[in-house]
Amino acid sequence: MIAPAIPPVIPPAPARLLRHPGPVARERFTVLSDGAARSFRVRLPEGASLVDALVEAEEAGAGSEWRGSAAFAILHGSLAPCVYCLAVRDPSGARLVTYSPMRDAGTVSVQGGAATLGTGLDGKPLAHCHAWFVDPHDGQVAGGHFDTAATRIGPGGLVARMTLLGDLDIRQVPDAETNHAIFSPVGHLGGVQ
Amino acid sequence: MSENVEIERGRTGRIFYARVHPNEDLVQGVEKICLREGVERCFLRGSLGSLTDACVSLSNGKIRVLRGPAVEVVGLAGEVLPDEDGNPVATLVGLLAAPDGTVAGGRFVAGQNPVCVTFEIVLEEWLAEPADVRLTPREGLIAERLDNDRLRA
Repeated sequence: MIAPAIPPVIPPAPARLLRHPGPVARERFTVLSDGAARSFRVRLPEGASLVDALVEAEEAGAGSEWRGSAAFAILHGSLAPCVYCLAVRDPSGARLVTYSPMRDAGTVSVQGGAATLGTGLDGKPLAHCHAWFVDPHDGQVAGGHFDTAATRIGPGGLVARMTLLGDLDIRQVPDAETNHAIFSPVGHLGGVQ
Repeated sequence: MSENVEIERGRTGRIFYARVHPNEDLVQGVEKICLREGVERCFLRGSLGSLTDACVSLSNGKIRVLRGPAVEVVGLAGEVLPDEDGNPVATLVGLLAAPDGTVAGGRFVAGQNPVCVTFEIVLEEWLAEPADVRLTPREGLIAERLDNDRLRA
C-alpha cells in the first residue's frame, strides 16, 4: 500500500522555533522499542482517580503489581470531576511555558485522548494525560492537560485501549533544556539496554 | 457505492515509545523515527504532547493555525505508509486546545508543527501480509493473493 499524494500547502506564516532557557540537548529523538507489547480493552470503574484507575488497569493486564509502563488511547466514557489545565507562557521566566490554573469542568463526556503511565520523580506511578470532552449541558467541546489525581472516573466508567509497553521503563526525568520534568524512555526493566 | 472496501490483513510487530524534543516537527519527527528504526508501516497509539504553533489542513484545502506558545494536542491518530520510493509518509490528524481554550482540528501539515516542550509518540509497527483482499457488498469477501511469480508468468 502506497501513501496518497499530499497536496502542497502554503502556510500563512512560518512556524516559530522557540529558544528554551537551558542548553539544547544533543539527542532530539529518544526512542526505545520492545517486541513484547500487549494490548487490551479496559473499562475503568467509576469513582477511582484517573491515575489510580490506570495503575489498576496496568496491574490487571500485567497480572502483577504495578511495575511498568503503559500507553492508553482513551475511547469514550465519563469523568466526574474533570480537572484540567492548558499551557500558557510562564510569567516567571524560569521556563517558556507552564500550566494555567486548574479548571473544574464538573461531569463531562470524554470523546478521545491519550495517557502514558510511567514512573514519576518520586518513584511512584505517574500519568500524563491529554484528552478532549463535551460538556453535557451545553455541548461545548474542550480539552487539555489533566490533573490525574484530582480527576475521577465518572458514571458508566471510561473505556480505553491499553498497550502494555513490554519491559520499557518510562520515567519522568529532569530536562535542563526546558526546565520541566519529562517522561522519557530510560531503558528496559529487566536491565537489558 | 462506486469503490470497493479496501481491506488488508496483517499483524502488529514492535512497539516504539519515543520522546520528541523541542523544535522538532511532529509529522517529520514521526517519519524520522520510522527511518531510524527501520519501520515501513505503523499506527500511532496513545500519543500526546504540545506544539509551539499548530498548523492543520481542513477538508476544503484551507489551513488553520493556532498560536501557542504551547498548543496542547488532546486527540491524535494516524499511520505511516511508504511513498513510491519507499520513504515514510505520516498522515496525522488530531484535535488541538490553544492557550485561550480554543479547540480546532485537522490534518497536521508536515514541517509546520514544531514540538514545544515534549511529545510522546507510541508507534505500533504494522506487518502487512502480501495479500490484497477486497470486500465487495454483493460478492462478499474476495481475496486476491498477489503472487509476484504468478503475475510475472
